[in-house]
Amino acid sequence: MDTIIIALILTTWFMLLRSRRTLALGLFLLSLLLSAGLFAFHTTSALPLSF
Amino acid sequence: MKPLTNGSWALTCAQIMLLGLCVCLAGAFVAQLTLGELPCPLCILQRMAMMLCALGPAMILFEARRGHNESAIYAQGFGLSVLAAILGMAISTRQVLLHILPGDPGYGSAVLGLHLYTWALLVFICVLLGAAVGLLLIGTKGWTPPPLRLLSTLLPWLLAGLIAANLLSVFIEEGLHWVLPDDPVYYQLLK
Repeated sequence: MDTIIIALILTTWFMLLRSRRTLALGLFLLSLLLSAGLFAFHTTSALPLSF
Repeated sequence: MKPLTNGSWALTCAQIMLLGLCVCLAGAFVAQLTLGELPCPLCILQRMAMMLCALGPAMILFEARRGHNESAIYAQGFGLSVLAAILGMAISTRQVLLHILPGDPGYGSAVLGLHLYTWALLVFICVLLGAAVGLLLIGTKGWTPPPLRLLSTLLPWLLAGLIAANLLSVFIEEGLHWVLPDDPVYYQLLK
C-alpha cells in the first residue's frame, strides 16, 4: 500500500508538470485519503480495541 | 516553459518552502542510508505527508514558469500544503506520544538531540506557518534572489528524484506485502 501511495504521489507530480491540474488535484486527494486510511489502520491495529 | 522572473513574495515563499521540504526529505533519506536504520510505517507516512506538502509549492512554481500568476493558483498550492501538513502533524504527534513516557529510548537515533518524528512535527508546523505567510503575501510585488531563481528551476526535479528514490526504497523494504511491519529490521524484498 505504501508503494502504491508513493507511486500515486509521483504520478501527481507528472500531472502537475503536464499542467493537468484537475487530474493532479484528484490524485492528490486520493493519495491524501489513502495515507490517512493507512495511518488509521496502523493506529487502530496497535490499540487493544474490541468492537 | 519560460525562465522564472520576479513574481510576488508569495512565489519566494513557495520557493523557500519547497527548498526546506526537499532538504528534509533528503536528510531523512541520508539518515536512513548512513545510520542503517529502516524507517517504520509511521516514518514512511510522515515522508509521504512531506512529499504531498511539497506538491503545493511545486505546482505554484510550475505554473509561474508558464507565466500563470493568478491568485487562485497560489491559493490552491498553499491549500494543498495545509491539508497535507495537518495529516503530517497528526501522524508525527501520534509517534511523539508513543515515545513520550520517561525512560523510553524512542524509535531510531536522535539527530541534533531530537528524534526524526519530533523534527517532522516541527517541519509540519513550519509548513503551516509558511502557507499562512504565503497566502498573506499573494498579490504583493516581490523580488527573488538570483540563487533562489536558479534553485527554483532545479527544485521540482529534485523533488521528483526524491519521490522516486523513496518509491524504490519503500518497495525494497515492503516487498510484495500490503503493509510494512511495525518494527522493520530488514529489507523484505532482499530477504
